[in-house]
Amino acid sequence: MQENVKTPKSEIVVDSSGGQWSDLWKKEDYWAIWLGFIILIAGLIIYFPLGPDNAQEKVDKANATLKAEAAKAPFKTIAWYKAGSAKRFRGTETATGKSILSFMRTPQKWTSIPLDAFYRSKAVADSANAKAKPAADEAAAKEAAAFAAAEAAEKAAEAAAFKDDALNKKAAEAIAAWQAARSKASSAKAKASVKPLNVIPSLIGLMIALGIFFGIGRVVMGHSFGAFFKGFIFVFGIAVLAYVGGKQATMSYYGIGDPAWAIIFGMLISNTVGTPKWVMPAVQTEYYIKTGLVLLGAEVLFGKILAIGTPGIFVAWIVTPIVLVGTYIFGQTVVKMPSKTLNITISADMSVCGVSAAIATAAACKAKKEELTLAVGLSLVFTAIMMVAMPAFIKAVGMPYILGGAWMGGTIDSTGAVAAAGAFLSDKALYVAATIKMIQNVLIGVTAFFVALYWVAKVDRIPGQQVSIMEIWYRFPKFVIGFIVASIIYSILDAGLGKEISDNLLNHGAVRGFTRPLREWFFCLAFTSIGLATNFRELAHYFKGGKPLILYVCGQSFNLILTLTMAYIMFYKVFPEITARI
Amino acid sequence: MQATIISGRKDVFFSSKPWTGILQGWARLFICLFFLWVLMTYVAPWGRQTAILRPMMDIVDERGIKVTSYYYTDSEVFAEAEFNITQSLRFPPTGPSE
Repeated sequence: MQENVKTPKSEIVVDSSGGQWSDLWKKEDYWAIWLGFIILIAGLIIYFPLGPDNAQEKVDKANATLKAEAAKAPFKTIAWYKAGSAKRFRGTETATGKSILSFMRTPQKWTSIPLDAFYRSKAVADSANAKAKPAADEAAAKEAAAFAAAEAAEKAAEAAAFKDDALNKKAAEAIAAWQAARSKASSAKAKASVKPLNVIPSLIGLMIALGIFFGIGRVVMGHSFGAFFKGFIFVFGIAVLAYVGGKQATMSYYGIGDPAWAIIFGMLISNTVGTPKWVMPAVQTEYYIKTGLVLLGAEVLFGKILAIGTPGIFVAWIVTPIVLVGTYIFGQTVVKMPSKTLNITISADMSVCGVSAAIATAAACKAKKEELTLAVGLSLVFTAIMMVAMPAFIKAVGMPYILGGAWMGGTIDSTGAVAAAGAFLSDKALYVAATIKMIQNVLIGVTAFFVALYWVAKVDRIPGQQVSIMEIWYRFPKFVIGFIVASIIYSILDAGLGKEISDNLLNHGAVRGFTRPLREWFFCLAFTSIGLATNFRELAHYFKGGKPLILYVCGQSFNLILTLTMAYIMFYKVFPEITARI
Repeated sequence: MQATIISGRKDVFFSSKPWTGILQGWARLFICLFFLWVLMTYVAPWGRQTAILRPMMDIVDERGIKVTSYYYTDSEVFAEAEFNITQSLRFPPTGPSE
């Protein structure tokens, strides 16, 4: 058996060449696939029967209204918007969906008392509701007034047979104002609908369920269930603390979420009092990451790349690979990065979509845990800076908001920061930024696949050695296959079910209602494990000379220039009609 | 309870002075946690109120945006955005025919 890596086994994922049938139940990669697919299939079984009997009929009726309204007026009418809302029968909003989500819930948002993340009494909930009620009532009144104004403006435009440009413009503006007021009223209502809470029982239940779930795999792979489960209680506990840190109201504004806190808390423990030895059987970074990545595959739906038409494909799918490959080559030839795995992890993190791309790429090329930590840290810092600086710059120079949205969607790493920066400009900028980011997110699967293939066939190859197809197969990280298969199956389901049914039962059902919350937990467990096994001095060693920072800054600068140029050409020169429709 | 820094393979305790090492380890942990608490309680809220950050934070608060989400399915805003864009492109208002 030949080891395909030179670094110590404890540091990274090691696959041996040669294949045996027993690999199917003895190797972590395969267990990630089996566990991932059990969850993916369970999600479908739970959520698909939850749709209403007349789902297709409801969708057809709403679409007929949308078509008729679109032909009736040169702007989006009130009925146009209402027909869109009528197409919603989300699986996550059913009683079953809510029960499942409540079992998997994390600690909640809190401000000054950490205990609030776990428990909220009825008195506290009532007090919060009473405090938020005036704002909610005011927002509701504003929505009602905005609706009345929109209705009056639309009637006036209709009276002129929608042929008076001034009346049409006035109606379009009034309806847009009603939509904005509706969104604010909905948010204010949610703040005044706080319910009593106690997440402790569900956290204990989830800990036991996940401990058994992962423990079964460990037993079949030849390890002790008891030792794993005992350590898992500790790892899960730190993951819960990481969620508490990530849910702190002020810190969450900065985008410092559970992955960062998981690493921070884990590293604090390992570098001060030390990670207890009995915890180590459950410090299984790769096991959790790979299982989480198979689940992430189900969220990588290829149909999404068409969401905003050809301009989106050019901005997200042409620029991103160029920046990814360009940054990697720059890192190897100019910056002279000592570690190729760190180079590609930072390149993917910066060019594709931050933390999730870093996780997938690091696992695909078998990067060390310190390298993933470093890439994630760089991404979080620059995301926080770009989230504030980019919209301020766009406003200052008077850049069109749709162009600004496309630019931010293609360059800011984290999803949440893209949404915040887009919303700071306008609703349209938010929609464009979010859609471009979503299209870019789909590249994770392609990136992980090609990085894994390149590493197996080129980087890990002994110089002068020819690598056969079978050798590539033996060495290929199998969880990547699970990731790709999950993506393909869910993409086929997404396309086959039709846009609306898929959105309600797949996206807002099996995915958002089951696989995604579990995937978030798995990644949090993985980052906690990384922290618990990371030494500050080793981490500092990777940062020597500031090369990772230089690589990130140079790559991101290239990304900013190329994305802006492509977005301008696509949205304003080649496809201005699509920009006009948005 | 035994404790070891795993990746560095270096015991945090001074072998000749185990209790000093234990106390030092716990002291370091609590000092770090104290700094994090100061960051959360004083520094971050101060930053939120600055002229540069406040407008952005207010929008985040008002729209209920989850800034800590790192994949598109983690944020409901993305579902809304996709829905609005696809509706707009699929049923674009064309107005009454001339």
